[in-house]
Amino acid sequence: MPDNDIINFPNHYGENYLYLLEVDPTHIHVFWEIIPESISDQSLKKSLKIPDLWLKVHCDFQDPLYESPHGSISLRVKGWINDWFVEIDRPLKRCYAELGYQEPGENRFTVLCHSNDLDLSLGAKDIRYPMKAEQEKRALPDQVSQKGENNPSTPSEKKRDEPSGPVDPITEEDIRAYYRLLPERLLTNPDFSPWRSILERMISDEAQRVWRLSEFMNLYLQYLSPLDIHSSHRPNISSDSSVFKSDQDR
Amino acid sequence: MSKAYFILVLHAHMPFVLDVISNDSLEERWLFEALIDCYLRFVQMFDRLLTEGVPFRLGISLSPTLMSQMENPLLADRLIKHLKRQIHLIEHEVSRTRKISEIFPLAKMYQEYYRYALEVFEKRCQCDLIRTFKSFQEQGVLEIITCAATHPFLPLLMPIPTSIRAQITVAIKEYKRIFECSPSGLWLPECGYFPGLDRILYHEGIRYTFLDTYTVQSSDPSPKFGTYAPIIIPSGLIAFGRDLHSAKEVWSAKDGYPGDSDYRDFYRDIGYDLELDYIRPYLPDGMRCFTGIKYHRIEKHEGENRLYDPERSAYKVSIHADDFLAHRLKQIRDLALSMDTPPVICAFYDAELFGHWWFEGPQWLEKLFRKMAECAGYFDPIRPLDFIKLNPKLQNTQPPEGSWGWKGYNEVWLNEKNRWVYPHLFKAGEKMEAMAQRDDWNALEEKMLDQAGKELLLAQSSDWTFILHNETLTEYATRRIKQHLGRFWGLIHQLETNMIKEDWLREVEKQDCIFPSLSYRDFRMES
Repeated sequence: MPDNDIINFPNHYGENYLYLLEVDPTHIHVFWEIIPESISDQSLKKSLKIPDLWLKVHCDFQDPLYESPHGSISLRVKGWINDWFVEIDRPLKRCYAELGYQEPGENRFTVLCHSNDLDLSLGAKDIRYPMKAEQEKRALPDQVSQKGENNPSTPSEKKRDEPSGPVDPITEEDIRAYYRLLPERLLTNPDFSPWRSILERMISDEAQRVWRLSEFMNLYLQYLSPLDIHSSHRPNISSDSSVFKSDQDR
Repeated sequence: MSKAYFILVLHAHMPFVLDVISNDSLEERWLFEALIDCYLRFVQMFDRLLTEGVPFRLGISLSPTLMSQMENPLLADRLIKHLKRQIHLIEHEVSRTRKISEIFPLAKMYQEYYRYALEVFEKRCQCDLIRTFKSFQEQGVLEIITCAATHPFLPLLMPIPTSIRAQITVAIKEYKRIFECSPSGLWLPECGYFPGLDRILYHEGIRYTFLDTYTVQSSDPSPKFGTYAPIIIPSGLIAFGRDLHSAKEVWSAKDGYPGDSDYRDFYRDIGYDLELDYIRPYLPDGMRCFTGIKYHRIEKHEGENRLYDPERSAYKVSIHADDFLAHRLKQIRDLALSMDTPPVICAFYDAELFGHWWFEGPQWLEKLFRKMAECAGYFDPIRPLDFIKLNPKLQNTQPPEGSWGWKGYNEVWLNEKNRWVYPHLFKAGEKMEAMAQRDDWNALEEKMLDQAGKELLLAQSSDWTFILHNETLTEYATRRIKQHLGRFWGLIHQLETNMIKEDWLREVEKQDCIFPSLSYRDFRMES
């Protein structure tokens, strides 16, 4: 079979589309194709100028550590970029994206295409994320970061020619990180003492960690009230960030 | 009654690498190495254990692409030729090393190894590995399950659900065609799961699957017994969780048994070590590659040059089997204190680890089963479905999305190096779905659409995005993706323009001769 079957492989599809994929609960990848006619047909009528495109990602979050359960990210798309890795600063619950442009002289956003919906709502108790939330709170981010085409991420390597391993095992430091998330009020409560001893066993005995972790995380989510969270960890994400907007767009 | 059970599952997969025109391609050698080093040795091991009455049980997931190649007569013929070429090479090596007393016994060992492999394939298996594995299933020691048709990473096909369903449906149809029964379990490629996938599997008659440790541990509500009891997802699908400890001891590149310095070094191969002029006749297109003949053991310190010692490695195999079993016994002793049902330890590995990457792996497995026989009644190997039948009461819980890849999500299969693939997969998937909705195709057009479906599934294999991520054989993976999608769009274009080239269709059918049970209707939207 000749290799020239490859000539039938299309580089473009001549239609508007926008797809959104999850890399992990705090990273998504968005990619699209917009045919020039779909922009000029509508915008040139008014201003004779082709506008920059805007990518808007609308998110619901699942992290209970933050005040607002919703948010949206707007990114200006210039040139011939047709995909974007977007980093979100907290685990997503649901999201979708729109690609469009601001009509010149008007405060109106014209949507050229919608993406598929991404629904991660059934991962609300994901034990992989409290650690991440803890690390991120130390940095108190107030903007989402962006990675475009010219700013590649450097995913860690997993070589095919080596036996590959599972994700990193839970370390003593991880357990201590969970521990630190607990409010003082809870740690001094006598009802909590059996759990405290479990935590201590998890720290001292590696074999206990995975076995006990899910039980502990269940407890963690059950005992923590919004009051506990906000009194110690409230991050300021609704400041004058130009990227993070309120939910009004939605 | 046993106090605890051990479920061992080997995931056997190989992408579709058959090249009808080119004889002795590098990619076909991957397949042959896996067949010789792993699957033919498994046959020998199972035969020995059965003959001696050792009570072993395990599950094996045979991916449909691997099954398709195992049953292909052209590949069976080429495997025999490859084995004969290996025997020819090793005979040269026996002559060359006759006066090198340290290497000569190793050359003789390989001579015996390849001669016996040929004998097992031709005489014991009658050149039919599928039928041989089927007989082990019928004897009740092996449970064969299936996998998605071309081993795609399913969470990243979410925007094209008809392709996900087709991957599952075709896999089950192929299993039924080959084994004349329905599969009870399905291995999710890379343990890639997302909520909702379970509904598709259960709807298609699959009873259980396997998930990574953290996916199960993160279920809501929390699984009472962690990964030491399977869970039941609300759809009705049962999921076994991977035991982290037994995974780490074998699988870890850094601390796992296969990295022991008395084991054979995979990377020191005469294909790279000997003079090119000497070895050239045995290399595909004369290019250096692994030949499978390796005389050295793993370096303990950089620059070491120690020869392989089969006696030392056999001793280590025994120690490592003891160590593995001792750890499991300690685990179940601790678990017995807090569980009111028999705990199960689920160990999942890529089958290719045993024999191919870890040369001593099959010996270790055999030794482990023999040692486990001494614990019979206390800690028993069991097949997944047998365990479910014994323990029907399971905790109902919902796992989140996850995989066994790096960081537990999708990053390995979606990153800067392979992101370009996805829009092409999705546009082709949408087109296939649209074409499959129609009912007015004639017989020739249906054949074209069936072939388009095969090309689409072949392009969706996670092997290609994995290779792109690792930057190992990037050119090959890129070519395969573009070739399959190029053929797909070529077929669609001919259908849409009514300019059908039957000769070309026949050529494509001959090259990508996979999944005879596939129908374009498998890509229809669920009614």
